[in-house]
Amino acid sequence: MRLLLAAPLLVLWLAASAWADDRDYGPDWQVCIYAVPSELPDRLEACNRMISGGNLPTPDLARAFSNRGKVYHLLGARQKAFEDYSRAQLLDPKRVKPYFNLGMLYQEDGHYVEALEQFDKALALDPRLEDLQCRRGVVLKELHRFDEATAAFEQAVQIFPAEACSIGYLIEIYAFADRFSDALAMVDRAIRANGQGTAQLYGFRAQVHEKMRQFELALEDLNRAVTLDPNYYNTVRTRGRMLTKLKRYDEALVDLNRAVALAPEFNDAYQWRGDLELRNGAYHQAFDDFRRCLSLQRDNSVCKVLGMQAAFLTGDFAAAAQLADSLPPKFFGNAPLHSGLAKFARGDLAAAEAAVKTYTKMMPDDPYGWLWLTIIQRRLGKDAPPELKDIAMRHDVWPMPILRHMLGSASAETVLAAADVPDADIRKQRTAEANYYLGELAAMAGDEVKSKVYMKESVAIGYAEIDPLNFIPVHKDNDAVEVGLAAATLRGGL
Amino acid sequence: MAAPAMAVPRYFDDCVAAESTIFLRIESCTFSLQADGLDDKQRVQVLLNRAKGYAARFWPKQALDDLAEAKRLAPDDLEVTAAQADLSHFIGGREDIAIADYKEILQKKGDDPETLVKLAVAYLVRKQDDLARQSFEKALDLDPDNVEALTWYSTILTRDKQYDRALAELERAVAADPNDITTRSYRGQALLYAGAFDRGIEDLNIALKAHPDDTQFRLRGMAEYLTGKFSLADEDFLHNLNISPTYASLAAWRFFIALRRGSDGGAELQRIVDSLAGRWPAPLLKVVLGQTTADDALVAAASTPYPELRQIYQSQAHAVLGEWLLLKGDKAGAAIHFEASRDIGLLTAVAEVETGRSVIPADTLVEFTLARARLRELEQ
Repeated sequence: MRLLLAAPLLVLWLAASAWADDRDYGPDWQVCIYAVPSELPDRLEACNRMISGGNLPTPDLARAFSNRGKVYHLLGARQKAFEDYSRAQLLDPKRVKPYFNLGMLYQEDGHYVEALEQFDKALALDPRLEDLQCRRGVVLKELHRFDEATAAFEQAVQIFPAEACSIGYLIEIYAFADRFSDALAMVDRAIRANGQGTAQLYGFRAQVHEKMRQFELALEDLNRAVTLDPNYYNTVRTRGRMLTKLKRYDEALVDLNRAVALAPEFNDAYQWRGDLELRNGAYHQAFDDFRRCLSLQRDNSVCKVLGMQAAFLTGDFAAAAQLADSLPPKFFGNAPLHSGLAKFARGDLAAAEAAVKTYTKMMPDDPYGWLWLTIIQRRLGKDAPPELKDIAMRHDVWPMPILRHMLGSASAETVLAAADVPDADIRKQRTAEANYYLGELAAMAGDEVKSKVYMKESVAIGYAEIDPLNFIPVHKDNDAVEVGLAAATLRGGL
Repeated sequence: MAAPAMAVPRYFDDCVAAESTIFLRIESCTFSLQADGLDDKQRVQVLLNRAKGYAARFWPKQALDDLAEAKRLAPDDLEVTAAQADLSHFIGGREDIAIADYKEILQKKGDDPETLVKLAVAYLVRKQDDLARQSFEKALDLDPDNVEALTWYSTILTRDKQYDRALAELERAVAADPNDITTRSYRGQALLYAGAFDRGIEDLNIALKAHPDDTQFRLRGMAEYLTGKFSLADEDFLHNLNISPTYASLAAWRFFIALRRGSDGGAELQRIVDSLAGRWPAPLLKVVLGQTTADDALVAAASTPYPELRQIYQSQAHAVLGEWLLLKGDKAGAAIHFEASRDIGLLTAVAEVETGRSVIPADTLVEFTLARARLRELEQ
């Protein structure tokens, strides 16, 4: 009975203690500590007044310094932030936030050892501080201490099963180690802990299934995610991408249109919609979307590469050349070849020959360079490059049959049969390419009728792209140049 | 009428042909699995060939999956076991699987030097030196001139501080194959520890000419410093200093060279101290600039939280402080520091924990060479 009476008193005392920790010193305190609706400069002023007022007890002065440090941090005044966090630590060594915040400051500057030291101190004070273990894990990862990083992320999800930051990293770690069942178990636990789950958590589940290449299951997760939050941009966009992967283009377009409407300022919705349009034969729309993507993020190399392909397919060879030239050859080895081919497409054979010749010196193992050099030189009335024979003799993959056909050692039928491989995407790409090259060679031989038949077939097959996750290495993963040039030839532009 | 013989599979031949490029091998093996009617024996061949292609492309997961399937189909096929072991060992980082597989091969085929050396190296990676030693010794019993075994074995002997024995094994290895660059490099180091600087420099000249990206220039630099070839030493130290701040302690040796030539290297040393922004070895370099004490430098060396790096920094500090005292004529004080550096011995640690992003390992090769040489001189 006495215990029952004591319970409400205990609650009152605990509430009072909490209140004691949350003293209110008026409007400046509210603005400085709780950031009640205010702009950063107002917060800074409020913190300044609280600090210079001289009447705060030490622990609260520490809070004021810590919060002013945060404001400086957000304003980019890093040295001042550093000083305030350090002052806060000195004044109240048992307050966790200044260590956490200083750790973040160090982390952002790439000083990972120092960041870890701060996070470790914060951890000793409060192992349950949200985001702390994830930040710590990221720093450990940067320091290449991968086992400890994994342990940090795992501890975070032990405490907060639905903590997104750590779940995101753990999915990558588990997937790399083929621990898909662990990844799924973790996400399922997070969903259970969250009641019915959130769109983000089902998005994570879809991410695991996608890594397992179980695209249908990934789509099911994304359907649930979109049902839970139809306006969550990430899942709507990802479902659009997944539907594209599954070649359900009409449904994909609905989602990607919606994603664009939800976040017109994000470049990736345009990127994925452009990708879908490319695969679906809507080349002009694709080109427009890649242009929008690049207007939002000028250096997005995926949009540059895909935009260049769309430019070839739409016959905008000036844009194709411009995009090819903007790609760093260090990372996009065949960009100079595309630049040369755009010149070829615009009729500047001499410039095309020079560019492709340079390319064959840079990338002598790429048979497409030699194939194109041969075509351009034939158009210029020259003999095929002497290297062609040796290259064509190599026991290598496509486009070797075309090179052999050029040398007279393989018939057109052999070329088309060689393109007819079991993989549907590769078959499509190679057959489109075979038809273009056979058409080009037929035209050179004066057979315009035959040439047109081949070219039409190439255009009818259309754009095809090989998924790198098939783990079948190829010399070129799409047929945009060939289909684009076939279409231009039929239009009479070449 | 008899049924016609089954057509020769289209892709199988390209898959198993030795002259196929890696691209063609992977593609034709994949298509062969998808389209050709293969029996189990052919399927194993295809999986084995594709796995080798994947390994060459550095796709270890795909390679391991293929080998696991091949092993399931042909559990007793030693070629599959050997491929699985090699892949686990050289690419997959699964030394446990590699060791089990190499042991299985040895058990079924009997001892052969090649497998014994691979097994020994796998043990070495797992830091099981005793088992590694046994395997190397077995391999050398069967093939006393096995260069790989001799070279690797010498690393265990060096770790055990049996420097003379290590050098003897490396002499045998170089005699067996004078063109093996790794062995030359290892013997070059062993010769320096033994104080045979001119021969050591000769070996390192050959090794560094073959591998100009190596970071052993500083080691040759120290041999040159110790034999009075200061210009060459200065050049070699500078080469490493330009690679990474991990080698910043070499700035002290360039300062000493300047001092021995009667010039002043203080400004250059100060520039390096400033660029280190307080990080190691700034406290050590400040000692020779007269800006702090030897004790402060030793405390700074000891204050890094990572034990292996701590010892490396301490070795650097003792070597530099010893040389500094020697230059000032304090032979007794110098000897104490050289002894401390020598006693720390040969260590390697990854400096990335300290530098944050660098992955260049730090070691005590230079300091150990110097300390042993100086102590030999002082004893005389």
